[in-house]
Amino acid sequence: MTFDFSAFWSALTSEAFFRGACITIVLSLLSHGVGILISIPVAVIVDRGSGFVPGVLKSLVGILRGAPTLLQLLFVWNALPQFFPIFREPWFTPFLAAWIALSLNEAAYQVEINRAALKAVDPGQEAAGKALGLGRFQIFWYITLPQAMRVAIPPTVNEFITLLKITSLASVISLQELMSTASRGVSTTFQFSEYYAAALIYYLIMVYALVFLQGKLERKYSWDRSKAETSNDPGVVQKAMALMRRA
Amino acid sequence: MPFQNRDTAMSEIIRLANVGKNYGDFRVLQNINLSIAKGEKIVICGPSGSGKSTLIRCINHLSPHDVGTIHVNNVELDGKNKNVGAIRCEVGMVFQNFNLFPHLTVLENCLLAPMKVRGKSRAQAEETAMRLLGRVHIAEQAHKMPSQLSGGQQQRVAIARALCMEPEVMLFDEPTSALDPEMVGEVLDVMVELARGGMTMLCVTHEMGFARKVADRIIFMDAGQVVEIATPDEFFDAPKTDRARNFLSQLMH
Ligand SMILES: Nc1ncnc2c1ncn2[C@@H]1O[C@H](COP(=O)(O)OP(=O)(O)OP(=O)(O)O)[C@@H](O)[C@H]1O
Ligand SMILES: [Mg+2]
Repeated sequence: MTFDFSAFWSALTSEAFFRGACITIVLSLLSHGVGILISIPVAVIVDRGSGFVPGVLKSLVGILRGAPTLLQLLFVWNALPQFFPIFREPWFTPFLAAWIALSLNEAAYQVEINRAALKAVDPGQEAAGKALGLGRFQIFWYITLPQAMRVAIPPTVNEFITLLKITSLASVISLQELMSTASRGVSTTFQFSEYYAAALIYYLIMVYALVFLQGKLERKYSWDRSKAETSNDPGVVQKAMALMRRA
Repeated sequence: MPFQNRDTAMSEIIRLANVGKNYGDFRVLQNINLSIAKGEKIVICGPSGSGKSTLIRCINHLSPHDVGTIHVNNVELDGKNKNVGAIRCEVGMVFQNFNLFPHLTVLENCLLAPMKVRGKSRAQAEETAMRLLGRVHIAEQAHKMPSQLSGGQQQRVAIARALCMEPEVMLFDEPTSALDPEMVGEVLDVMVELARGGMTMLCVTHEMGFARKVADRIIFMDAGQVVEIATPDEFFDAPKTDRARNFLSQLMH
């Protein structure tokens, strides 16, 4: 058993791997971005009321969280065109299908994160905002949201890291993301360790970058003494290792 | 605005007529009638659960009333957004738990509403804020985060934050009950200064020294009703009702 370093290196620096990694990160960012945008109003509506609309939204979230992500990907890619002819056009690419499926899937998970985060904000904050004459939207934007964000950042970044790895499922709908690029390389050369190692390096770089970003965000949104002074924070490496273990 | 008789318009700032409120079957407030003149200082006291907080939260529509009418500055608090907004601009409120915005500095706490609600420029708002932070003796902490301050300091910031909207009336809901004893004095001192400056004030408090010193009238509540309205001397020395006598004797112990 030998490790062909030059094969590893040429895979690592190949355009195909770089492209695959770009597709992985762009798909993750777009899906999570859309997911978050959908999830915030849904979280607010689901939390505020009982009635028809919150009920329907709750069931949708339940379905999206219950169904395997793989099933959702296959459903969007194969079943949507059966129902709606418009999805039979050439513009409906695997990337677009994966984006739609993963956005909805992420939105469902993010709704729960957001609800918990919104609940964590003391109701006295809203009362203080109202008493000062601020409108509902102003209270949400300037008072509730920044405080909820602080609570939501760590689980949101975790969620994003999970998503980054879940994008590999999109290889079943023939999206050429990072993992399928590696598998394709393996299937022609049988150099497993070289190609998987190259993919691993890309995944690690992406996850480390995220963990670094999380640290920065958390510092930005830490406003009490205890937080600002923490020095016995686990290092970036330990955090990344812990996260890699999860999924 | 329609022409109004200047005298009544100037003298009466808050009027509650037959105000009531229920939580389900539970009557939190019943048949409250109250007229408060500009510059008057009112202390509201009464046993726990008697509806004191609910009463003052009705005045800025934090707890909307169900029955009767409330006028503030001749604007009726009828639930219309425009009127509620107008009244909240004129009525400042200080909470038991301070409710400062923890993600904003002391100064930013004081700037938010004047800029976003009153539409002041940052420079204008900052000038007012620094002046008022000075008035509550905390100007040097303007750039700290609320969590870096003691309870007494936080409550003084909360008072300054409310004053930055330049309200006509200030509502206080037990402003000193969450404080350590040694910090009560500094907050009461600020409130006494505010009273001397002519502010119309409604304070829910059990600080009887403060009540004697500044109150024009004491309102004693029990079971959602106003049981007694009296001057501090009358109320403390010769309460008219048994319920007030009971309450006062418990307070002494
Ligand atoms: N949101 C609510 N739902 C149901 N009941 C409520 C609600 N808010 C207050 N109450 C009830 O209304 C009554 C009056 O409450 P309120 O807070 O006005 O009393 P209080 O006089 O301020 O008491 P305390 O001295 O304990 O602050 C209490 O019995 C309380 O349990
Ligand atoms: Mg109360």
